[in-house]
Amino acid sequence: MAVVHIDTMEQFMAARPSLVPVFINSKTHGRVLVPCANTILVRPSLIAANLYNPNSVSDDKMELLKQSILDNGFAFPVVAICDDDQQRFVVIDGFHRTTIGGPDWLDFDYVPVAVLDHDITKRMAATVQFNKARGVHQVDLDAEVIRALIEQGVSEDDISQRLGIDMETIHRYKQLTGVAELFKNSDYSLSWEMAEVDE
Amino acid sequence: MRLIQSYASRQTVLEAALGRMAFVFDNFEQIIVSVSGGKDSTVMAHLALLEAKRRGRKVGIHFLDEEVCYQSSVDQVDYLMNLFPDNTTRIWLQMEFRLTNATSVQDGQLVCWEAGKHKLWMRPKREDSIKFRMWAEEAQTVRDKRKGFGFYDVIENFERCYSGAAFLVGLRAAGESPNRWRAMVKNPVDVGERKVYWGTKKGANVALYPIYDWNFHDVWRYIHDEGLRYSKVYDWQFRKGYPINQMRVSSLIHERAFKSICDLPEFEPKTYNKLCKRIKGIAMAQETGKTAKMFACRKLPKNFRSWIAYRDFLLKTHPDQSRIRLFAERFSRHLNNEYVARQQCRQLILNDYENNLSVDNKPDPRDELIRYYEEVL
Repeated sequence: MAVVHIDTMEQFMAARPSLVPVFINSKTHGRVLVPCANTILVRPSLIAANLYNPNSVSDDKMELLKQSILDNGFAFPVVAICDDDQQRFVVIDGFHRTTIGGPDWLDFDYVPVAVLDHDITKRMAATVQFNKARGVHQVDLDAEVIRALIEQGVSEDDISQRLGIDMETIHRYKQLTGVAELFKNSDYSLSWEMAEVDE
Repeated sequence: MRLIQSYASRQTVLEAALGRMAFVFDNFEQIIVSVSGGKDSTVMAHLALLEAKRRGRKVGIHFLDEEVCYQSSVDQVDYLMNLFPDNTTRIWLQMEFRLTNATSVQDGQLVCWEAGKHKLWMRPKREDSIKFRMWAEEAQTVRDKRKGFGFYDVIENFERCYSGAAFLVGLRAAGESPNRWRAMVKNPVDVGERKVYWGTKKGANVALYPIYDWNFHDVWRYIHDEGLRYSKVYDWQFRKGYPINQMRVSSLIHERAFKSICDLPEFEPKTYNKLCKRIKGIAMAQETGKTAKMFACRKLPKNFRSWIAYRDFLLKTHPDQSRIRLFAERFSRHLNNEYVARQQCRQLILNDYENNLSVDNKPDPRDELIRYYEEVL
């Protein structure tokens, strides 16, 4: 299957009819659409941000995102709709991936985009769903991953860069012996009692 | 006459605590240690159990189980109760009482271990626990009839089942707020010939604080030296970057505890999932507990011009009519300024109809500052 490159909106309009929807079947919910099977490569200049995205990504996490794209490739397409008024693709999910692909960061020639056909209500809901339906790392297991990497001989600097974790956190995670161990050399304080004194 | 802290004994806190423990065993037949699963009560229980073992005696280990707690705390209490089984009387209370739930405006209270809801309980009751009230119903006291039978009511009624007993509590004054020790020592109790400042009279019994002068690092040193287990929550908090002197394992749902829910999915995902099913408002508290706008109530939402306007809005839209009256009546006794209104907002958001986080009712300090500068400039 040939990859579709989109340099102008007119090209997309022309190519649109040839994009055949792909479905998978759920035993419980029937047919489900797979937009990423029709991922197209789009010029970054044709992609616009939405105005309602409540998600914010801190600078250190942006660095991690960049590192992830360099290490793993652009594995998840940006999800967007085609806005006929703006004549642009408007991002539903992947605003920060788009930014990383833009001139301030990796300056890609194309960015992969999966196009949905959502009205504004569905779009806003979709943005929240994409942002929020994700897990958190259990502190214990996170620490296990770091320990395993150290045992595999990966340097702390490397772990810091690849996992986007600062050195302070790595040191805390390495402290596998636990909090009590930190106090083995501390001295006991001096005891005090209440005493009555005359003024 | 004036009271001072005297360091004349030149003993370490450990030596002094061992001495106090011997004194307690010399003077009391019945000794009960209250534990929470936290680090302080772990040390307290271990010191008492060691002395009991030395003397071939028994101490009661008492835990009031509020159902909604870290699994790690439950595990820790279980560990303490099984350290010296021959010297331990297990007093694990699992009975119905009411807890304040700050995370929900609909479920203002949680009835823990509520009868008929056993399928929803965070965990099943233990075989060895005390499941029914040990006191006669007609003798039972309740501090506040409107709130119902609560945490402190269980404690008070439980303690009244004893007479002449010593209740040991792992309360510490050192390193806490400067006035804490003054509060702790202001009602000393006579034990035999001695006036004991590290305790107080409690009805027919005595409450004692043998590790009152310990610092947090003394507690950790003892836990390390004795090779004791401690709640895993401390290690998780450490890894998350909590300052070591501020780490504590608190309750999961009262007015000041909603912050501990923020980290719960990363610490104990299973406990978090069960908690979401057990009480309303948990997911909301988890997502917003640490932001300045919601529960902390430090930043005015941008669509309101003043805290007074925000307060009036919250009051008008509160889902429970009877609570609206209660809040309105309370607020009518307060001054009407921004400083007070912000605190009223916090009460409304935390659904603190019980007035646990009381409002500092005074003129807005900012007004005075503005007046001062108007005069100066």
